[in-house]
Amino acid sequence: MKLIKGKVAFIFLIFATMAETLVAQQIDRSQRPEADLAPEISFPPYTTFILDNGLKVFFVEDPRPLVTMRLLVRGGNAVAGEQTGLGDAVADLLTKGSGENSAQKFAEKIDFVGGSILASASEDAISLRASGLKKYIEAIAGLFAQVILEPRFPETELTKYKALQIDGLEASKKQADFIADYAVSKVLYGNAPFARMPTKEDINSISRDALLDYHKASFSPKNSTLALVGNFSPEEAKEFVEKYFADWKSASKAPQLLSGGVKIGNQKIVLVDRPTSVQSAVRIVGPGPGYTDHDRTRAFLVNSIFGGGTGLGNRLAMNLRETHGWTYSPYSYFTANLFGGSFVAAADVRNSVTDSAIGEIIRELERMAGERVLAEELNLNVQSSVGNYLMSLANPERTAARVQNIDFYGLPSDYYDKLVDVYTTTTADDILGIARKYFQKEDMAVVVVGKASEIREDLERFGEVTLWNEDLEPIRTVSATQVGIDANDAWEKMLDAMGGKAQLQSVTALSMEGAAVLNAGPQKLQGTYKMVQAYRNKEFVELTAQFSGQSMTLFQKFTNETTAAQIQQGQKIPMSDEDVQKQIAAAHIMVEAWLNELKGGVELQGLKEIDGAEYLVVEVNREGVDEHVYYIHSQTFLPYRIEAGETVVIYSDWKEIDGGIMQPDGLTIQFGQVEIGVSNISYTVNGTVDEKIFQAP
Amino acid sequence: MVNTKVCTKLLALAGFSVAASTVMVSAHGDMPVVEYEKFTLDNGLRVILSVDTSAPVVATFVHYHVGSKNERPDRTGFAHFFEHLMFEGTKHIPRNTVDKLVQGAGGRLNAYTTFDETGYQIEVPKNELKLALWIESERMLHAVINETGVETQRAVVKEERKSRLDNQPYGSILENVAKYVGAGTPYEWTPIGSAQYIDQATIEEFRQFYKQFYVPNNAVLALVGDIDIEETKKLVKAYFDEIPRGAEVKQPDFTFDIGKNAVEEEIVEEQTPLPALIYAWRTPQQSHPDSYALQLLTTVLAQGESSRLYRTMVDEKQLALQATSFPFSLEKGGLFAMLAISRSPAQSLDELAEELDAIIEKVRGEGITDQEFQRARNQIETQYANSFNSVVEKARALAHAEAYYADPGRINTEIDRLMAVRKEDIQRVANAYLTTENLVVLKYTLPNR
Repeated sequence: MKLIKGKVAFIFLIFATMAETLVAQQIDRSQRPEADLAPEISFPPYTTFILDNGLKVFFVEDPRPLVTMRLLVRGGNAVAGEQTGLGDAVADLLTKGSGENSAQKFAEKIDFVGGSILASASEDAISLRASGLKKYIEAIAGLFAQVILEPRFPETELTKYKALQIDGLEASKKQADFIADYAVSKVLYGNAPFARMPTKEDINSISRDALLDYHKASFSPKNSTLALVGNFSPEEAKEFVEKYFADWKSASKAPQLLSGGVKIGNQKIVLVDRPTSVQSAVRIVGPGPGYTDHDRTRAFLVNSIFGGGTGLGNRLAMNLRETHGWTYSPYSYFTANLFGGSFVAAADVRNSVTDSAIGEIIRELERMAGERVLAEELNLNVQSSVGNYLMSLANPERTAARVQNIDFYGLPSDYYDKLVDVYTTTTADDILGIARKYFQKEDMAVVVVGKASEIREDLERFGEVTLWNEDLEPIRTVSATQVGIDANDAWEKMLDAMGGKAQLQSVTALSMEGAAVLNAGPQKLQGTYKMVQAYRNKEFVELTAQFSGQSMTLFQKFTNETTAAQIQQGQKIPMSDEDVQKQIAAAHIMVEAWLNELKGGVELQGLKEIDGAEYLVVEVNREGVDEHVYYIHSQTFLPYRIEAGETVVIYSDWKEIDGGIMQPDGLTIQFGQVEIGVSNISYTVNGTVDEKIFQAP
Repeated sequence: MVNTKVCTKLLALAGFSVAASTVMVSAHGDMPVVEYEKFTLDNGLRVILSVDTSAPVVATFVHYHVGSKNERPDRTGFAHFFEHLMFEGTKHIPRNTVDKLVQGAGGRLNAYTTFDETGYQIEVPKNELKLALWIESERMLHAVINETGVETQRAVVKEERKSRLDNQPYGSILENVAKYVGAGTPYEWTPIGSAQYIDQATIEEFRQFYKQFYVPNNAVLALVGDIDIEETKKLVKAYFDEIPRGAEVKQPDFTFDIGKNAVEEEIVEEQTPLPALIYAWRTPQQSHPDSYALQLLTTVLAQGESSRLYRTMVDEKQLALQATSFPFSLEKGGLFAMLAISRSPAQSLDELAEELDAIIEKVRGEGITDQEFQRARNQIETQYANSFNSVVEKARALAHAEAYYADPGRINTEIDRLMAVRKEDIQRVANAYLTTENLVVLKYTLPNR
């Protein structure tokens, strides 16, 4: 019995194992599972109706207890007139007082019902969005209609708005990305009022009358459309919209829009000088398809392959990030508005690889326009684009906005019905054709926001560099032949300004000491900076910093005629013989005054404008020392900036010290990522110096 | 135009947004109820399925109950580092192809690490459900942890730290707040951790971490979308049943001592564009009833232009470019913070502090008005109706509720707990937690230029 039972159990076990094997076969872990049959994709249903006053409404049903409305008003920042930022101001101030409500009363009312009403302006439209629970929608819609029909634009709110914008502009201008966005805009649209960076004056010149005029001309049912999403039947939806907007009257004629369009001028390499940058914001820009161009959809596939679909291993990311490790997230996109389309490829890279990165981006653009894409790469991007579209269909607000945009930009009404077909029938030849059309070298420009003193020369290999300041105004540079003064004259005048050659040469010992602030990346330390020099090549430099109440020596430099050393945080830095010789040569006291005797030569490079002041740029060469570049003020003839290799020193607040010579009260030393600011410098001229100080311990 | 752009950017960069605290939803009044089915595999994996046919898509969310608080103090950053390693590949999925597989199928994927958890989400067209299950089960069953992957991700994580923290205005807020509010607990370091520890760790330590925490009995799988429940159950079993159960995971046990935690610290960073002031107080853990009252308090203080902070500091006195407050609730403790960014570089932080102090004093002394109370309730209700706009959000909320409360259905009753807060509770919690003894002050000042 026992045996038989055991046998049965044994047989059962075999079956069990087989059954498990069957399940296991169903999921072969070593292979990517096959996809099931792709779901049908159809654009969600919507209803369009037009009120008697001409307001076109797009309605999408949504079972959730929420309602959203989006009014799109044609014009944005491009309503005719030279005022920059008027559309922005109108959008912002619509909700700051309307009908019987002050800005504060309005905020209380909309917040009380948990709703929100927000407005914003783009180049070509103002859009207003209202949303909230359906049970409070009457109150929300009442306020929404009031904002649209009877805004008051109170003077008090306009004043506050201007002050806030000016403060905001100042803060924004400290960010490279912000400057880069507007630099791109300027390259694409020139100085068109709708595209340029607003100035303080632009903001200050906005008047209440201009806001009222704008509203009167643009906010009219025939110049607007409304998208509505919510839990209504189409009949209820129409009744609901009529209740709030049937009385809205149309203006006699639609407002004139500015003309403009994407046009890359002759400035192919634009460098916005941001002297504090350790990274360059690189943007390569060109034209792109407009909304109604037939190749717009397929251009999205071109971009997906080039720099759009990050996880798909797009070419930009594979090259710049994976192969070279120059940047974390490069990207590219095509975008369009009523004025046309454009293309932007972007990467933020450190100064030293700026030109290499630009070279690689250009190479990838050329490859895109020169070689047929492989089937596998194309398919991957097609699948991805189709899937993304499919997933976006779950969002009814997005559906409504899409229908509204079809109308606004004049796309064919079956655009989304055909979208998947257009994607799936795209061939490698189509991709090549589109890339060739838009990625033409003569139609594109390179825009860089970065530190000109470090990267400008490297950029010249791509063509003539146009230099802009941080306000995106051209920096005037004049070549040496136009300056009208020669280098030796400039140098003599500089020595005179500093107290005269003889006076300077009479200095045999000089000590200085000042308060120092050390910035190294996120770290910031307070300390002291000290320097002692003695005739001829003796020098001692010391930087200390406070660490939790304790003073620590960070850096010391010793030079004593024939010996040289550097100690960093207690460690001697290894130096080659050449380094030692260079350090000794560079340590010469009052070196500017001794340049002739040291057989040094000067050469004028040109005139450069920085922050409204003009500087003579003089290159100084002498044997055994790296080339130095002096920026000499064209009026005072005092040196402002000296560049030597990777080190930059900027002087400020020149003052007279003992012996009738001039020295700066403050200086900033930049070296790679490190910046040392020294202020309140005190000097001793020809005092007693303990010679031991020049000898390294 | 300009200012709004900057503000939202600055706050987002600081690593905070209100949406960051996982919002739960509601069966209150006319709010829709999320139906779901829950079962547990023999290996301990808890599975939650929910049907949503609003689009032909499906989302998976895998919640591992391991976050930075499970790390050793000399191995911070481990949980987050693992989030990266899990994209390196598995026995059957070659290196660096996880992204490609999902995006090539038209899907999206993402992952994140918090103080308490690591979450992996995949969203695909419904015909690719098996792909998502394959990837997630492979990750749980046999992730490949080798030198190549570890070395690659070491570099990537450092870059991430640079771009998220070191180069961003106020990027260090979360680190500094955690350091002082979480002092003496495993919440004193943040998920990004310290690069040095990742550099010091051996490959064996990474393998051990995987073995300890990436086990089915420490995970929840939530699946939401256009699915057939019975068919999906079979598939889940087919992919996950064979994964062996691991040893039981013990969660660290601690709570915050409220009070006796006052600190004031000045922080000077090169990238700070405008001075900013941060107040942060310790509050109880997310399951504590007071955390609901604190949510209403933040709504009164900071939501909308009629809120107290905006009205006073931004609109009337024009001292701040932005002023806000937010609660941050975690499994073992929480914090309540206020943040004000100066209008201009010259603006003194003392003036901001004076205003913040007055606002706090007023709510502690006088409580809130009836109108503010009703307003906050209406705003919260709206917020909750908005919180399930995608299948991914639903899946995340279900998994979260299961992981911390063993009750996915809690997402349907969360609004009831919020609506149960009384007006006087709001004044009470302000007095209980927003005290000077419990206050951490961070002053972001400008570098000397």
